[in-house]
Amino acid sequence: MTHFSSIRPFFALLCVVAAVVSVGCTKKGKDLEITVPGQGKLTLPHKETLRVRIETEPPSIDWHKATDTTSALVTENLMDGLVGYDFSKPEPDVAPALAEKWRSKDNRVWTFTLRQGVVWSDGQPFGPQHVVDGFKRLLNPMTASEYAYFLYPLKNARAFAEGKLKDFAQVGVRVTGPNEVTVELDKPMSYFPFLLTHHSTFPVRQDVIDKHGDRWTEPANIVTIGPFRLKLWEHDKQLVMERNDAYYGVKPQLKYLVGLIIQEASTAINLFESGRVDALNSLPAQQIRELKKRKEFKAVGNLTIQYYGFNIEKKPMDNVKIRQAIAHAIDRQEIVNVLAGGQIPMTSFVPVGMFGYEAGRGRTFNIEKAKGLLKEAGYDDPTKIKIEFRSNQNENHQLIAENIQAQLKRNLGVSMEIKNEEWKVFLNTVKVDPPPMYRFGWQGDYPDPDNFLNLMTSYSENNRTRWKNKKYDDLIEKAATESDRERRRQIYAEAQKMLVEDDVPLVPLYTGVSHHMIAERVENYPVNILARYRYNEVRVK
Amino acid sequence: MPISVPTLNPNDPLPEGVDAAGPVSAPARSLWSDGFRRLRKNRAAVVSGIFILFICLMAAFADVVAPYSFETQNIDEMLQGPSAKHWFGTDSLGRDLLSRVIYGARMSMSVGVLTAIVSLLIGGIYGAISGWVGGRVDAAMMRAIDILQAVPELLLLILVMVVFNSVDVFESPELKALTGIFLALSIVGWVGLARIVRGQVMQVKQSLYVEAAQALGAKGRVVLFRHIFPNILGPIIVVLTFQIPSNVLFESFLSFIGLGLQPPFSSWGVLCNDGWKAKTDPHLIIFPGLALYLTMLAFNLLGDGLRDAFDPKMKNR
Repeated sequence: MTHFSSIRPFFALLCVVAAVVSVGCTKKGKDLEITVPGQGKLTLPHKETLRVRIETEPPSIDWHKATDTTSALVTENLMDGLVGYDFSKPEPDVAPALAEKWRSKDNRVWTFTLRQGVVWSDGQPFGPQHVVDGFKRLLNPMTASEYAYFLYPLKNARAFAEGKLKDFAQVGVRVTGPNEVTVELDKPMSYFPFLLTHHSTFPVRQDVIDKHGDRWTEPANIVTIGPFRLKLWEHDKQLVMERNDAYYGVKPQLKYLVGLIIQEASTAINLFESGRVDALNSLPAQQIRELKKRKEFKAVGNLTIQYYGFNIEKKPMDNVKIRQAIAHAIDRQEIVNVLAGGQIPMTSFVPVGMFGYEAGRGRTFNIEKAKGLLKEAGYDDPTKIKIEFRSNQNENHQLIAENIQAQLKRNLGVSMEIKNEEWKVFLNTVKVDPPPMYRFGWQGDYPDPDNFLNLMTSYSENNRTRWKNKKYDDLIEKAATESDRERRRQIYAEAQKMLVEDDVPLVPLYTGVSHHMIAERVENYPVNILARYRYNEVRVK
Repeated sequence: MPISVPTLNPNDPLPEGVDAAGPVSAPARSLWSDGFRRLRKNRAAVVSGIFILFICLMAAFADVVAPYSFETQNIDEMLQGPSAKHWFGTDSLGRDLLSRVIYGARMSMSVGVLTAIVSLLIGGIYGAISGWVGGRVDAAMMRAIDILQAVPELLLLILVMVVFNSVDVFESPELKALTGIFLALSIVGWVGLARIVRGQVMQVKQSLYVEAAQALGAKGRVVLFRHIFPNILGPIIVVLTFQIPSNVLFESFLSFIGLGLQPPFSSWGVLCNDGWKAKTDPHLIIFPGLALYLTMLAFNLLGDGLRDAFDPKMKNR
């Protein structure tokens, strides 16, 4: 009878969960076995394999197109930039990578001397043209990279990226010697080398891309230079990376690095407990208070912010007073209490712990002001206001969304409708047609406020708010070229005021903390303020 | 006296329990009272029935019964275990779990019962027409059902929910979510009922009393409503008691995969979905799970009891 069949999916689900858990118990400490297409079965020795949870299928590991932290974790282990990081100092500093050294007299023209004898994973030698090809591909309008603006400081780069200039030779980057690349900027920029640590500015093998098109990131096609090589990519399941024995830098201790794609955080924790996963880079809030007590737990402050963005072209968010009212109506301390993971409440856009952060900046929690602003906006009955909100599926984001929903209802009487989408779908939604309100976050790519504040410039692809302000753009550009630290701070203060006090295209919520669970057999796990996970120095027992 | 049947004078008043048609040995009992009498003897079914009634009352008077609101968050009291203040403890946003379970009963039960009623209306009429008319009409109607059944239920459900979610008809998000689930489940649910009603109608159609009624000149409608429906109600009620819990489970499944109720509303499915993730706080899964489990059990036991009570073959046991 049909009415029984309807019970089946539920039981099937239970069975799957039970199966996963029971398999997890039996496989502890065993070598993993994988099947590589065309190469047959391969055994990954347990003592040389690190298994890390990654939260979703990486949307793209094409380092010019990737914009999210999941993809970045993969690309940063496969590739190197001209410049890397030295995390041994308290404030992360730049360190030589593919470029052996660099020099600049006026902070405007930079010359990079490349390391010699570096080879790509297919044996071809690395050369300056690959750097230029990388820059060209990032800026090419056909690539449509959301990170193209990273190189806008280069001379003529923006015109090229916007399609106004067709000739790339006029853009400020060229090969000036067998091992030398020279970059010419529009204006002086003291932190320029920081930009070259980011995966979007990495060199690329244009010949490989020409040959394979969009499929060049598949394991059989991709050509890389970093400490690991991509061995296998089972979509929605796992990525297996193998040590690059020809790597020029610190050679990995690991033979294999496995990224297991596990969406559900609770499943990930179960797998961690049963010894099937070695490291988790994020934990659900609900469980932090218990996991905190364990010795595998590690927390480190990071340069990430969480904010709720608006689409200022959609009702009711087209009204600035309503946006301001919402900024006043949310008690950030309450959100942080819900998360209970040591996050820092924040009303400004520059995260805590970074140059340019101002504690008092932004619209703080104040119900009276919020109510007053709603009245000014012409809403005598706030219960009529309905806000459509979207987020990606994640237990913590869900918790925050439900809390803010309750806060807005309690404090203003405004109702909010929550919808969740899968990460890839969500990224596309906010890009193509952002809802009136949506959750978003930003993880610092380099430790400079420019990295945060330029997100909201009118030409930034990461600005989903539809807010465009010429004066703000000018301030950000002015600050980037200003070399006096104090004057720079003042310019950023002025820009932040426009962003979080006057026009309010977004509401900042808190500065994040990375929570990890790292198995005892793992040594030297990279936890750092920028949440960059490079695994070449990790050892496992 | 040696005569076992008393002879009556036609002018005497009739003794109680005897009608003019002739002498009988016991008071007349309808199919219904017979069924209920047998049902009362089944203790498990009676207890289940009372439990279901209790849950339904709680659901109906949730506003009165629940100690707190289902959406009031108290961050200072989040993730507490059961206590005198919060009998079922609190969830990760400091909401009282008991209140959420009670309000959840309202959602879960109304989805279960309403869907069953709509399924019965659609399926009953469809099946009755198909079974009564028979012939080509029956063949065509049954093939239509086959086509509908060939589509996997879950796929159909998801499709209906997605389409429904994209249209804006209702002001209240609560009503919108409920109507969506209820529509989706009804579309899927009536098919099984239609088949059962058709089978029953076809069976009863050929029985002697129907033939007799037709021979006496009864019209189709009269035969259908006076003779056939009362005789097939038993099996239908039984099917319904199985359908209701499966609807409740399906609602929880829909909410589980994110297509059902949206926050802050709670149903048992939503609560179980939130609860199973929280390994460190077992009360979050135990209480809603228990509510769901006990209700399912009660419906199944009651269904069993009803089947035994109304099955003509079980009459003499």
